[in-house]
Amino acid sequence: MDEFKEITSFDRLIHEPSRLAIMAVLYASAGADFKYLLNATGLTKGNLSAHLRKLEEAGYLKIEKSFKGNYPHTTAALTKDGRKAFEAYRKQYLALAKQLGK
Amino acid sequence: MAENVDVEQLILETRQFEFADGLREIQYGLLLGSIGFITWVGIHPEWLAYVFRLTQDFGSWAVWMAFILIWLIPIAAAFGTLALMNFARRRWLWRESGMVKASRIAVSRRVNIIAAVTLLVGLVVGFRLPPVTAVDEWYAARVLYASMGWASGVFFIAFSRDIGLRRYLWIGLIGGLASTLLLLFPLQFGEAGLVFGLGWGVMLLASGAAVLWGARKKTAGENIDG
Repeated sequence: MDEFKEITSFDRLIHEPSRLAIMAVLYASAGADFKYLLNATGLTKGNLSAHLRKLEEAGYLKIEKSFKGNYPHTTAALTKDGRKAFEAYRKQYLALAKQLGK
Repeated sequence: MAENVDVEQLILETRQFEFADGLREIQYGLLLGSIGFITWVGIHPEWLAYVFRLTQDFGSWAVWMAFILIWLIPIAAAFGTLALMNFARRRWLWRESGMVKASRIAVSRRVNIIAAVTLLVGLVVGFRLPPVTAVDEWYAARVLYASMGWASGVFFIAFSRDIGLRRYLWIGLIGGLASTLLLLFPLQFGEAGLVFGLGWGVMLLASGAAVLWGARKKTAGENIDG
């Protein structure tokens, strides 16, 4: 029952698998471009764009758009809030995993 | 996208990405090699005689200019390779995979603390060891460089465990053990610095070049297939 309560208290924005993958990649770096995120997460372009937008609206990441030659170039990086939120989430799930492992 | 996200694996892979092409090692190798070189040159009698002549001809400011110039060598090594790295990654190595900006804290605090502690312990141990060469005025310098070598070795071993890249384990072991040899030869300060810098520099360059060769071949293969 406690474990169930624990799971329901997870940050739902991060807990969604696709967004969790995005946050994990950005947490391990100072930023990544759209192409890297596509390859790392295996999402489609549309899906990735939608999830990035959602995370940006929540203030968890910032998106920068530029051009490399004639090609648009999008990079994303976690904000301070995003980093804090992911650390809290990670701490929670690692503790839960340890608990369940017992 | 699989429902089960292996978060720790994703974090690890992204951290490894910065070091997967060997360019960082090449940069560190050039930096260490150049620092070793200027340590040797900076106190070499011929260089000092040259600087003295400059002082007589142009005044004391010439001393500052001379030392600023030689310090430009490692600075150029650091920033020059950084620019080349970014260019090579943008043009070839990361063209298909996408770009990642490495975290400023690429090395964890734990690893840095372990290395710092090893340096201090190394200094204590080095000065307490019965000297295997004749005690001369430069023994302290050799102990300092040997300790730096042990600390660097421990750093790479701890980093290897932290980031899961096995080659750093070997770099740490070989470099750390080889640094002990500095205590065996009657090297002066500059010579010890040169041997230390070039030794680590060559090893890191060789490792980085081997990894880069593999990464380049893989990229070329992807271009042919894709």
